[in-house]
Amino acid sequence: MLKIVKQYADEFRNLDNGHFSTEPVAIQNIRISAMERFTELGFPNNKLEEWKNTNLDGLTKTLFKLPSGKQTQITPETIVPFSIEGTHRLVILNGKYLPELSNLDNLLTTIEIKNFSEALTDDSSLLAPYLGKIADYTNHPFVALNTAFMDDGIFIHVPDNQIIENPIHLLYISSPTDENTVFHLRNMIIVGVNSEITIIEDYVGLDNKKYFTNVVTEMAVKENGTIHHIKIQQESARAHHISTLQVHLDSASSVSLDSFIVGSSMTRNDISAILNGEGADCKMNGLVLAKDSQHIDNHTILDHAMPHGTSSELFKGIYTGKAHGIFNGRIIVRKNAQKTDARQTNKNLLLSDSALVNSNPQLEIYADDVKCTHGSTTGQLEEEALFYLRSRGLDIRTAQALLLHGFADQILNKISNLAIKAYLQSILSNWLSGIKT
Amino acid sequence: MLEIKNLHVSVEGKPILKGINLTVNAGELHAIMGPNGSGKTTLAQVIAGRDMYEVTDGEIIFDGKNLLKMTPEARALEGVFMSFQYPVVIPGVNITYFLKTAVNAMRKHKGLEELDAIDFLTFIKEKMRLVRMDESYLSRSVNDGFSGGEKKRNEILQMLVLEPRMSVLDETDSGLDIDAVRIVANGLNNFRSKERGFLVITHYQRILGYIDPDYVHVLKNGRIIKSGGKNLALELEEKGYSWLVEEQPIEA
Repeated sequence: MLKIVKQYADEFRNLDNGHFSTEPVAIQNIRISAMERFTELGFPNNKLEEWKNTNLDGLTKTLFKLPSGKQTQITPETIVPFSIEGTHRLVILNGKYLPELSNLDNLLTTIEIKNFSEALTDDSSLLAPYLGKIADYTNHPFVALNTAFMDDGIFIHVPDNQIIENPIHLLYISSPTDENTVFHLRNMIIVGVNSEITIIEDYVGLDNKKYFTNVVTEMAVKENGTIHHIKIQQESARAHHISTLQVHLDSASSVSLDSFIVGSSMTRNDISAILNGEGADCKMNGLVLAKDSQHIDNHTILDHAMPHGTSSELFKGIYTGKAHGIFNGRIIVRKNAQKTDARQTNKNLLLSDSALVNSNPQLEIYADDVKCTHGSTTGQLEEEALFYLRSRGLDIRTAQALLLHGFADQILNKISNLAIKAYLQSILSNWLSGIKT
Repeated sequence: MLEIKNLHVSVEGKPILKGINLTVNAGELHAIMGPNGSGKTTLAQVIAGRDMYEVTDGEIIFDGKNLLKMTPEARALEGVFMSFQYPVVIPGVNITYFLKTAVNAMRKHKGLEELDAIDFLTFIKEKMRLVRMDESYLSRSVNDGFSGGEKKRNEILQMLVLEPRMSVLDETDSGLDIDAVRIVANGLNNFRSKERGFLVITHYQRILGYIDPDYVHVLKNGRIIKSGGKNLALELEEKGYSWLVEEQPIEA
């Protein structure tokens, strides 16, 4: 066993004898078996196909400690730049729910919403059927590690036949008092029959601290339900961000998963959707903006298990400096999933000679009556398009900015909520104005 | 206004233009005809400033200024416009935003106040009527999903809004049906004036029937081998290019 794995196991044992012992036994048992699994699996290494391009030295050579308990002080002014008009906001500061900066308004009258650690101790009958069942800790080391240590985050349950108009903005702020802190955040979102909700998971780093976010989000949507899920990752430039987002779709349900990744020194994003009911629809879109020596690894899976499912995926990235991007997009069409229509596109722009992208679309099709397409392009800004714009009087910087905006806007334009779109536009504009082209 | 003197241009070491001499004065419309591969598009692109073309000799003077030393955007701001034979498709870049940026760059250069969104819309809608473009066009991306005819009308529209003094139209008529040719020609005719010069590059005589050129030149194998009035175009339509012998270059 690697020394670091043993250190995590020791830390777990200390907590299990104290902190966790107040939790229901079923939860404690899940934690124990997840920790056992983690010690067996250890951290992934480059010999594994799924990890061959991502170096985890930054995580395996340093022990990241659980939050010290000392809390950073922030004021309402701190979060002003991260407010999105017309949304309910829940703030999680350094892994702990912060009710005084959250605004739930009248949400509690229609849906069940609580911070995750509270949901765990309540042993909610709603949580139990899903916990650890959607995000599988037996095969994924970081899910196992998260499940052993899972702390705060948000639990949301929308009963049947409820349309929640205002998006819910989950704002995870990291500004730890100590360097090398790890946050094992956990979220669960269950949406009932015919119900609809929009969730923004927004990860923000306030200062230039080194920390490790290890988040697992499990979502399930029942028949004819809808989830719009928007993930924004704007962690600090020295942060490590490992994220696992898994969603189960029942029949005729519809889910959109949009990812915007701009922060962290290293990110691994695993997004997977299982279309478990007939006629489910999943849209997956992503935009990566990476510079300096950022390493951004996206692994997506669209798993069509039942007939008449549709999925479309568009992942784009702009890479400059020495940034390294990975896009690994798997589409699985199971034997039973006839009449599936699945489309996948990956497009990357490289703005420097040292930027690099590995793009790897994977189609695994076991049904015979399906439509599947995929395409991947990686290149520079088109010289011809630049010339076209310049020949109309736009200077080279304006022309480049216009083309880069245009490239990124194809993803932003998929967001129908105008306030969220404006929030993302300002992140994009900031990023573009900060790079050399 | 535009003087091209002994222009030699190569692409990847291969000579394409081999000594072009041509003067376009304000108020004149010159047509350049010629077979495929004669260098017509190279001439248009060199005037606009595409850097993949290497000028090995000669010069292009615009209003007394050396055009070849200017960036493409500086040429545009000075009043040179080229309509692309193959307009570039730019997904995600909204056409209204692009044109407003271009028009305001031009106005700023001229020392005029920039147009705000509302004034710009009024301005562009008036120009769109001239080339019969639908308002839905304003919400589209640059040339994205445009038909061949829409792309060419979009080029003419850009000429109308940027108001260049020197316009080079590279095969703006090719691939258009007769109605579209008429729309494009009308747009061009309304725009002609004593202050403006035009270089209309075309493969066919057809559009020249609508725009009445002052001069017609034949470009073949990188040289202007014959120049004349509009009757030359009719002659070319009838006999083709083969009767012209390129060993007898004439100075235009």
